[in-house]
Amino acid sequence: MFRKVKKRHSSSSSQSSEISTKSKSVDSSLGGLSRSSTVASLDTDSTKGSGNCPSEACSEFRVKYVGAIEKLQFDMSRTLQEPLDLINYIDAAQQDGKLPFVPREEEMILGVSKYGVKVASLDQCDVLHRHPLYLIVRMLCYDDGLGAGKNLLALKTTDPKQERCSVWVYQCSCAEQAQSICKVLSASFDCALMSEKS
Amino acid sequence: MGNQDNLEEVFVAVIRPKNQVSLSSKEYRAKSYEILLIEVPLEGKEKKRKKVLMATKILAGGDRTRSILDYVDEMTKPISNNQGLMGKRVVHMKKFTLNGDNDAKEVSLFIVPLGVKGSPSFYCLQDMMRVCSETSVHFSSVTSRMLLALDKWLAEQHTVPHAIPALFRPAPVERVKTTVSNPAYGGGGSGRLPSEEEGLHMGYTALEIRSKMMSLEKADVCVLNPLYGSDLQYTNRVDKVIINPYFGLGAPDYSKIQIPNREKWQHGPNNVSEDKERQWVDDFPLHRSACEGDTELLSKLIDGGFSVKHGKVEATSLLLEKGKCNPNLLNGQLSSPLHFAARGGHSEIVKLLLQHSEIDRHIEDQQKRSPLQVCEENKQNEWEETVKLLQQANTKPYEKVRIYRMDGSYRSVELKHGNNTTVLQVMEGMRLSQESQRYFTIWICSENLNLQLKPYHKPLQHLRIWTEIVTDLTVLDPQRENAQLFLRRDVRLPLEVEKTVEDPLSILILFDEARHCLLKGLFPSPDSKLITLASLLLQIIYGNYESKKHKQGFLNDENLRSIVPISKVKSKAYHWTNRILYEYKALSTSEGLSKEMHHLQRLFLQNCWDIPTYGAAFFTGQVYTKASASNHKVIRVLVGVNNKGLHLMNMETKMLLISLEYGAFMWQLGHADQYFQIHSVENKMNIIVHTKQAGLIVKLLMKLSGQMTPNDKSLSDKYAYG
Repeated sequence: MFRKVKKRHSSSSSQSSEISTKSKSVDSSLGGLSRSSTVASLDTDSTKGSGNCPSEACSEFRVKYVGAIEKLQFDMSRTLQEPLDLINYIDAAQQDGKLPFVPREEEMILGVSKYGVKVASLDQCDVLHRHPLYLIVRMLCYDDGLGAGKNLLALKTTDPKQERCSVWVYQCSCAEQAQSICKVLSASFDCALMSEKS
Repeated sequence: MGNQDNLEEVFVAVIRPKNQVSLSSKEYRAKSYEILLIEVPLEGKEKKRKKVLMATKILAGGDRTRSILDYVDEMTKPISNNQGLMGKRVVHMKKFTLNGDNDAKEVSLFIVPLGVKGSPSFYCLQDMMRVCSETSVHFSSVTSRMLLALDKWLAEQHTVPHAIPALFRPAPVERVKTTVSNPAYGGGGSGRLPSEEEGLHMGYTALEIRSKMMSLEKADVCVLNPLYGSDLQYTNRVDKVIINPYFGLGAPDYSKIQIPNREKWQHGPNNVSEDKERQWVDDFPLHRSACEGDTELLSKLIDGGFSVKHGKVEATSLLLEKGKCNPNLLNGQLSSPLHFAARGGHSEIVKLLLQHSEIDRHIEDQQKRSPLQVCEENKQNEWEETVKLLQQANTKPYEKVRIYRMDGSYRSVELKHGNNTTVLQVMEGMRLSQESQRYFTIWICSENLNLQLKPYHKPLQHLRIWTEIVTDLTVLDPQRENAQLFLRRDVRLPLEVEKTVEDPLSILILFDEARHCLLKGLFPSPDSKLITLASLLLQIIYGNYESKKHKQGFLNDENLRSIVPISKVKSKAYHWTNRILYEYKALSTSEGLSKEMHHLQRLFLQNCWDIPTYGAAFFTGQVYTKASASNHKVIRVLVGVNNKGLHLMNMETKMLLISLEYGAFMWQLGHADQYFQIHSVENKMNIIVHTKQAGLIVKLLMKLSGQMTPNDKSLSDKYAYG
């Protein structure tokens, strides 16, 4: 499914405990969806394992790249705050032909670490996208609704000046993988916070 | 209507598929869809109603999706048990320009797809389309225009893969699974400002989190390219090109590599300074060759006078002795070391060179000048001493070389020109009669390789490189092949001419060689012939038969060896002794037979002349025969070539395998001179002989069969058979 590469600090704590809800503001209207950094559906008994975060680890996943809508005016991005709006927006873009419905066959390596998300070719020689952690606004995992049960991963990023935003869409190989990517990213957010306090 | 500017007029087509299956169909059928239309009273005719698309006004710039879905929800409540229909999504289809009463206005048509199940009030799209194309009474003109457009649009969408299933796919709320948002941007959701409490995440504000994350992006070390942005022109111009002049010429023969003239491969003086590190290589070729162990080049350089020119006595001595250098080797201007030394007046070196056994003291340069002349012309250094040395040298006796005969005797011949002495000059030194000189020539022979030299060959130089020749022509260990020079029958000598030879010395030499060949087993013959030859040899060696002396036991092993082929001594010769002795007796007692030695020897030769391999030059090779289907048998063969034709003998048993006369067979040289093929139509035979000597064999065949014209002589090889 996914392999862990370069786990330099072999911290003993398991991944699931790290992906803990640090704040549990669950929006009931979204059916158990968390709006905070953490994944509500993955809630476990959160014992805050400080320093146990995979600080240097980078988890890698095989995904396919669907497409991106880049450099939207931030006005637009304001209307895309809600996850459902984002899905709606992507759906519409697909219907308009601005985004493909299905990805190309080529697989990519999507790596998630505390430095952000990096998408590279299978041989890791070409880096296609790099999304620094501080520019990632949201990651969204949803069913593409085409009946095959494929899961799409939408990544909303912004630019350093927060003037524009971009939406990147990848297709996961399965639902579990999509969940894992979200988990790791969530852990990465927490990890960035726990990095030495400056 | 005061807010008209902010309101946008929209039309909404609520459609649904009749069944799920139709969604995956690539072909568009209007009857697969149903559409929601509202009936309104027809103006003027109260009983009649017309169907129209839903239309409303929404806030421009607002959340269209929400507004339209809410509108549909609200509008459908009356027609479906107060349960409003929730559209999956809102898709903008097209903008229409309506010509209103006053001016044109733009309106949009939105499509709201629904699931399959639902309430009535839906009309089959196909029916609607039919009606709308027949008459416009039942529709408003706008609705019919839009329905036609919708029909077209749906047809288009069907051609796009996934488009129709995507249109009717579940609403986002049913599909969303997980969402992860960055706390650095949290709180800003839906424009709602969070309270202080809510904005904190693990005790940090969003801004703090953002700065923390940004710090991860900071690099520890940053190195800037100082040339970046300096307007320095990028160029891909090549500063220098050096092309290996040997590239593409294939693997070189390393033994023959020479250093070409520098001018030939260097382009201009610029390179010299750049190649300073390697410059010594070219400036000091002697060192280079010594350093790289290139003995051939070393000797060339030295022979070319490198050390000689510079007056290095010890170096010259060392190179002549240890390096076994050829003291007569010429440089490009055909000048010898002796010339160089004489020109420079290096008396010590001249002395050293003149002491060398192989020196050619009469050597001439390009202008036909002797070293003495060159010395006197230049008058350098100790030229007077040098002149004296050169003059003295002319009176000194020449070095000699032994030319052997096949009986083991030899004659020492003066080497007037050192190792530059040619076969022709050696032959002159043999002091044979003018007549005899035609029959014989100089051969260079070692245990397993015999080569006849051409008149212009320099035999001493062949002796010098014999190791290379052996390596070139055989697979034998060159160390075991010790070459000597022999006086032997010229392979080209026609039998008719030989039959006229009367000179006793020539007959003796011919006889010695024939006997040698016979005993070596190179004359395969019937037993009777061998017995006759053996008895003749007895007569020649022991004189007349004496019954007391020459009894049965007389022909012991040792004596047999001197009269019958070595291969027969063990196997057969014992049974022959009676017959040999009988013939010997008959020969001795026969009347009218001259007992003169050269007559007997000539008689012996006469008996030999009809042996197929007489007078042949022998080569070695291998023939592969198919012993069985799977394995090949290798037969080592002797290839004899003479005026008669080509003869193959088994090397071990000395059996004559095949004897072919010229005209009865054809031959062809194989690839890289590694084999030759003989083909005889008459015998239906095709044989391939593998040998490094194939080139020599074929050339000799051509020459002796009369195929080679004088013009072809340019082809002739460096070694043999002039």
